[in-house]
Amino acid sequence: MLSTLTSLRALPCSLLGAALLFGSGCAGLHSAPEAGDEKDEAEEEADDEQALPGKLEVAKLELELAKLEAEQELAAAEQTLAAAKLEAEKARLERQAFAELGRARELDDAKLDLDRSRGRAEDAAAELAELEAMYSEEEFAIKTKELVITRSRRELDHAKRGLDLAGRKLKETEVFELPAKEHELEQASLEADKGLLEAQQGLVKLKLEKKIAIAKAEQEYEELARKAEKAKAKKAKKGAAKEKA
Amino acid sequence: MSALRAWLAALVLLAPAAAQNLDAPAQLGQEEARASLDKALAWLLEKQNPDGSWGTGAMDGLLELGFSIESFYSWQVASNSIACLAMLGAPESAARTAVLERGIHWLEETRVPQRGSDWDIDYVWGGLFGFAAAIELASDPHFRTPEWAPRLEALAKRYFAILEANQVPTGGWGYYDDPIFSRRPKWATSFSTATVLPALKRAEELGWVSDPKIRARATEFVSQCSLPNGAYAYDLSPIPWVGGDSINNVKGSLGRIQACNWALYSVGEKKVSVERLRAGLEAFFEHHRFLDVAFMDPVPHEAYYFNSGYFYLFAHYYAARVINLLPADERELWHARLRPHLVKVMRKDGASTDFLTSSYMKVAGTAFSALALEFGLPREIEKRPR
Repeated sequence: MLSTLTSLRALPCSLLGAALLFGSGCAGLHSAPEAGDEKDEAEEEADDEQALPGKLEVAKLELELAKLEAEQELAAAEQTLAAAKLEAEKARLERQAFAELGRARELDDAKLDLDRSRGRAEDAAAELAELEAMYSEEEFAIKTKELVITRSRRELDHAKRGLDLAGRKLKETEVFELPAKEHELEQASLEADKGLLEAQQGLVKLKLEKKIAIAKAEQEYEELARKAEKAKAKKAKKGAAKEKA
Repeated sequence: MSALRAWLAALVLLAPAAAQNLDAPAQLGQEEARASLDKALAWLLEKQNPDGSWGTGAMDGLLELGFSIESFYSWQVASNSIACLAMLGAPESAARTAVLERGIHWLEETRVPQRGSDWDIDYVWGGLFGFAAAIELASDPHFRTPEWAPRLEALAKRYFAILEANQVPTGGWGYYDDPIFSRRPKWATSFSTATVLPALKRAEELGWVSDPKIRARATEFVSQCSLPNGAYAYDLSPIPWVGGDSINNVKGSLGRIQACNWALYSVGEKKVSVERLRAGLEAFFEHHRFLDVAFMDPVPHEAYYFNSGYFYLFAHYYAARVINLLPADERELWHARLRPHLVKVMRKDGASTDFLTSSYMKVAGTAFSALALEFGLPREIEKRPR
């Protein structure tokens, strides 16, 4: 498809270029109508008439190209618009889900972490108390007692630090992370809405542009067709006069 | 030269027994043993519940969270069975006899333990020690009466039912099952199986167990766990792990050696000779520090060679039983070496525990300690008041 379009574009452009060069090269010949110029004008006219079918063909191809480009670009723009709509909907849903569910869940999750850490610290404290009680009535096993109690105290210390960390994490989540995420989602939703609006406006604009482009190409083609008809009629008239004479 | 050797031997004998912090003598005589035994028995006497049980069937500490609820009750049944045996071997007194009979009554009346979960089948311990205790009670002359014999037969059979249902296909008894979980479990250990071999033999003699293949399979299981290094593998494996700090090293097998040697010798397994009993005891005393280090460590198998705290009193109980399989004239010397390791870990109130202070551990530990001391003392043969 792409290669076909490329070849379609390449042909009329080269023909158009040749036509323009030809046209500009002839422009200077109309500077002064003098004697003997009549013959040149007639020749020029004959040349123009001869070039008209080519120009008409190019104009026809230009029109087809304009229509094809319009179809293609409008389809792409409509896809962009559909994607923008989806993006905007997704951003809206994410924001809504966070506002209605996610925020509370993340907060509850952090609170559960804190409660679990508190439980671990309480368990570690209870276990240390049990071990201390067990070894307090223990007249033996001094080395084991030292090892076990030291380990249990360390576990309690780690559990307490874990509890402290979970408390700080909860505060961080509540005060900074959740509002920041809310803003982030709001920002994303606004940007998606903006993207949707741009896509809608872009499509409207493109439709107009393409309408104009097609209209111009049609005008060009119709103009040349009229000229060709005119030239054809003139030629026929001349031929009839010649036959009569 | 021989004088020097004798002097060195005396020095070794006088050196303190290995312990974590106690200066225990290398030997203790019968008098000291009797005093300690009295303390242990007094503790058991005092701690018996009005219903005849000891301890509780509920979890009474945080350190054993994770086991099935039923396991705590099963351990209570097992520890109560051992406590009854301790009272059975105790020097005679009316109070002790009453305690023993209340204890037996509780074992008769209490419900039979059940499987705790898919993996936790610790209720087998109730079956093992319940059955072993019933058979030993029934074998005692004082209980061979028309009143007691049928009661003890029924007692033995109710706990034997657990064993019958849980003997693994390879012949032993264990206390956990592995996936895929099955009604008849698949994993067993040498030492748990050893606890009931002599009782099975006696039960056959009494006509209470009719299928001799049960004992034959169990005996084969324990026998196959025997390793060339003199140790017994923890469980039966085609290629047992013996290298490095394996639990199957002699240093990780000090208790299993005693229990398995005692069991196999008692049922007439020829591979265990008197020499092998002696070698096992020598290894026990030579490497006793590994039991000392593990003593009262609340994390199972954490110590060197995967020793656990609860190996300690179990090992000493079966060591005492092994000693009594040796020729009579050499027993006292061995008991004298064993006693310090029992006395040094006995609490002031007479209780003993080697792992945790859960009630079943204290009951079992104190009973094991009392039994080990009793085996080293001349048995008083008097008539118990019936």
